[in-house]
Amino acid sequence: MVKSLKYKNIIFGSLLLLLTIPLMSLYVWLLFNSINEKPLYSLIPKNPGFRSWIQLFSRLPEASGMPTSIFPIIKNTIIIAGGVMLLDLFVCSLAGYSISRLKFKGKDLLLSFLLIMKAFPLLILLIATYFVLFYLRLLNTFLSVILARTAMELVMGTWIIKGFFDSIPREIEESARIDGATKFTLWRKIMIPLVKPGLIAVGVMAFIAGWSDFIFVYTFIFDQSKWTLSVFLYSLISSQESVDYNFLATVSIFYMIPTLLLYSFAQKGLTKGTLGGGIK
Amino acid sequence: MKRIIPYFFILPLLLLIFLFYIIPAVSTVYISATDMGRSLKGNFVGIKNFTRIFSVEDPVIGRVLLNTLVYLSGALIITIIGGLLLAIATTTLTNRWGSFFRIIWFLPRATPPVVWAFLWIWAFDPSRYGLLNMIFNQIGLQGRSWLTLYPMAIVILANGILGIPYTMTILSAALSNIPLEILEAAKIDGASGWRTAVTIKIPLIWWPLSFLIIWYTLSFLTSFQYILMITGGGPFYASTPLALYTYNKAFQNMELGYGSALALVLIALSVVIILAFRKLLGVKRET
Repeated sequence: MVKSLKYKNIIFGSLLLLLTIPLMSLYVWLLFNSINEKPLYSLIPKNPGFRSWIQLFSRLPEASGMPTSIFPIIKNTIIIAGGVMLLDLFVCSLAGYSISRLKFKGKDLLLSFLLIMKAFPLLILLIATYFVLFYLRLLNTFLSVILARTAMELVMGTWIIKGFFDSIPREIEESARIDGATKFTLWRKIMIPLVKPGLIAVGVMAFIAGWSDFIFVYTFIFDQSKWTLSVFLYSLISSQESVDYNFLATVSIFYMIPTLLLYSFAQKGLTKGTLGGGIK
Repeated sequence: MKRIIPYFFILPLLLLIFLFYIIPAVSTVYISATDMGRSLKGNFVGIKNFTRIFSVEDPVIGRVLLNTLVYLSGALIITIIGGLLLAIATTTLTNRWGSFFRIIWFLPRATPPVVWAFLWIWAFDPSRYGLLNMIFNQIGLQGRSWLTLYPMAIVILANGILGIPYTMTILSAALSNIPLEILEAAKIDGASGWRTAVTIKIPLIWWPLSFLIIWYTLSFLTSFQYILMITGGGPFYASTPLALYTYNKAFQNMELGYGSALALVLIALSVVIILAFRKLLGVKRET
């Protein structure tokens, strides 16, 4: 029995390794290049050093038509990510509550519509969205990206937060209502604190979505002064001038550190929330 | 007053749905019947955009549709088979190793799209600094310009592998919900591990599996950003599926009218494929 289990482990382990090594090597390649002075052409970093990391935070490498400092770009990225997070939380916590707790006409219709929305990615409507944003005079603004991104994220967020509201016993609300609280104070003072783990998870996911967005910034924003990290990195990659691989690797690593950290954090919060959210 | 209050709560959601789903959906139909270009003002042209798609007027459309089919089936096979293999393997392995692999395979999901695209561009870079060419040089082979030689294969790999983590997560959860007694019984009856996987495990996770197939079909049909970044659809439309063709027509050639018509065809295609899959996979509304 024990022997067969060991044998099985070896087979599955090597199958997994075979599939995983190529994936890992992509990331290792990126990491090693970012901490080497010259682009690698073997697997071992022969001239380790932080040249490109220092460049990233001082003066960006000279290239025609490229920004000279990373800080405005980071700021823009944070504005969009933060904007998506706040708007998404606002919309989803209100909508999740009303779907979970309130009665209103057209609720079933809304629910099935949300499902269709989830299935049909917004990108199919990108051309018309561009058209709408043009008429709203929102093209080339951060707001256009924030709104479009939030619209894409809100189905998931509403669904998760609705689930958290569902798990709260109704007695809690009832006692507050007897004390004479209005629906709005009830929502703000009693319900919101109870679904905090859900809000944190949804907020973090929305922040990551805004932080990593490429296609909306690329399509809706024209000014270089409004570039985010994604469009900056893409312009570096697709630029016709000779490529500084070490610097590209460094920008990539720097760009993905927050998403990695937040993702693992949200993952933990989400499981904890769904497991511990229901009060005994 | 009491009846109105719920609508205040739902209002922001409705507003966003209205602005970003309903108006765009209606506008797509409207724009597709015009010759709208850079100025965002168009004249009504009726069904001219559609006849352009379905006649020989657009010489590349046949190529694009074929690409769509190849890209969709390739990426779908990698996502589903890869995710299934990983799910079965990680749930069978002892916990520590299982979670080690799960952590590694969670990386692609946490990687921003541009970085993910860059990883692949760089891996197949034509210079000696590309990962694959570096390996080729080390073992004494000549490097190649992979991205022009095999653009479609690379694009399929990059998109297909990106789907594996989610497929793996969903299927692992489904697999660990299979009651142990069933597996014990199979073992007592002398079924091999492979047979257990095919005849017991897969039928028991059929519902999440078919959900994933339909989900990723839609996703691959409509997503184009990785292809846009990795090959740009080239060389000469070699890696351009319908979704990217739509985007390029609209935002590179600024033919918004024609682009919208293509988008409508894409939507129609998605609906047809999903209905076909539902029938094929026997997806019913179950609990």
